[in-house]
Amino acid sequence: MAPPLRLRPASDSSLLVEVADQIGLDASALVHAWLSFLQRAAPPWLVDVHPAYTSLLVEFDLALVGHGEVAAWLGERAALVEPVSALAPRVVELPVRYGGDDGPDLPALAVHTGLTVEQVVQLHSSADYLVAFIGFLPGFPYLLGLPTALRAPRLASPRAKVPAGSVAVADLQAGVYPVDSPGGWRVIGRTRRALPEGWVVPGDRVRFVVEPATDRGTA
Amino acid sequence: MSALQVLHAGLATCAQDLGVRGHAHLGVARGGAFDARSHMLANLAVGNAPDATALEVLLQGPRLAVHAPCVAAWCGAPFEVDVDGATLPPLVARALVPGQLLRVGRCALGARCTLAFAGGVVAVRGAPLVVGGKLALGPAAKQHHARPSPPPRFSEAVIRVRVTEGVHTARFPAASRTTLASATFLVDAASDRRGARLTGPPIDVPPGDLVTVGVTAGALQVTPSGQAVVLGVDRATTGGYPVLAHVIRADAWLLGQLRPGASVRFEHVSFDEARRLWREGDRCG
Repeated sequence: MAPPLRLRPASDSSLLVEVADQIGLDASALVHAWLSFLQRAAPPWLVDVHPAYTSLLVEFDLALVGHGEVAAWLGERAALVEPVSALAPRVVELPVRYGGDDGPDLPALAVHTGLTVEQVVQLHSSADYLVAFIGFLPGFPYLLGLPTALRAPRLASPRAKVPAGSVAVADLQAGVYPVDSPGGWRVIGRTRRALPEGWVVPGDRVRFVVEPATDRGTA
Repeated sequence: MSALQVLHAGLATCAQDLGVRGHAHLGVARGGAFDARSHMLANLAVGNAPDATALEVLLQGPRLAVHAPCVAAWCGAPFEVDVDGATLPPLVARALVPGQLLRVGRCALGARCTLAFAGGVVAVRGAPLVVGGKLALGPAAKQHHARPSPPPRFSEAVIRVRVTEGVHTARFPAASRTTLASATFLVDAASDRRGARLTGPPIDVPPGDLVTVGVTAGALQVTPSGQAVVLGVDRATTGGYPVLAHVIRADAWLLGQLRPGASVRFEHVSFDEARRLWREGDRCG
């Protein structure tokens, strides 16, 4: 049985619904169960839903309802929402050039974690990642599965531009920037593979494959 | 049939409607007009539905040559707008004829206005105006009869933006909430449709990183360096910086009018008050 919902206003017209305490597969399954439920139920006051690791942000029409009504609606239906087991997921492999100009934050991450650069690359690329949800930008996957040894905070000041294809980490999160974008995560490598909207969906698995230096061609 | 030709595109004129809803789970933000209130009023003035596509003008506007009869109106910051040199006031629908020149100049206060044409502009959301380009308009619809609201008023005074608590407010030290309520902030030049960066006294953030959560336009985040950023219409759909406050729905349109260099103060209101302000207003925007 799922833990009780924790609900908090996030603005005058949105409510943060926390469905789990810990990031993980169970939390993601429950988040997506709630997302599907809301999309199918389509209450007239529903404006938009932002899924994340352990929560959903529910935007509502302030002319029709307030936090109390939305909270009551969700609470009454919580027992109906059950995690769905995933269909056979795709595995998407991304070749990655780590470090150098493609991974400007790799050396600092090694220092922060007390590992060598080679160890960081080996740990990051040997993990098996699950796409927990899409957010931030179309096609930006929030990945589960980052080894805890690589945990480090976001950059103190976000970059105005992170190049498309950049592979990045922040805290226990991992992701890939599908297009040029501002970003505050630590960039440790870059893939040349095109990442169009829909290149992965929640439930897919992602593997990062080290691109050998000899494949880089001439400078 | 193209009704107008672009002689001068202006600083950053683009086609906007009121954006999309229901796609945040795909990472697609709402987008659309930053000052949605002015957008709706300008459209209503020319008989369009409020969400018709129109031109969003930033700081300095376009010069358009009229090639076919059309009807235009505008609303937003106090821009200088004229037709062949004759001033066009806000929210007045003016019939334009071939050979005329529609000029949108600058504004001394605020940042944006919407220039609407009867029938709507045929363009993709976000498409920039390009010199030499042509503007096609849709067929003018039957008149929408809407009680006109007055255009927004601008003054030299400090802009007051009302906010409620945000999702992480309780985690912040009390001093941070005091700073937000008492300081005057300046809108940084590096502000755009994704968000307004504010310059002011540094704000202490809660310790530790936060798990990414969904965010909406109007969220006031604080970066690790203590800078406040108010998210705009093109912001990301999720974020991990702590949210200290959130702009109320009724003041969301103001975010599209934050001019670089303008002074801003934040006034805290309760959720009940924020709801009352929206429901008792004209709900435009």
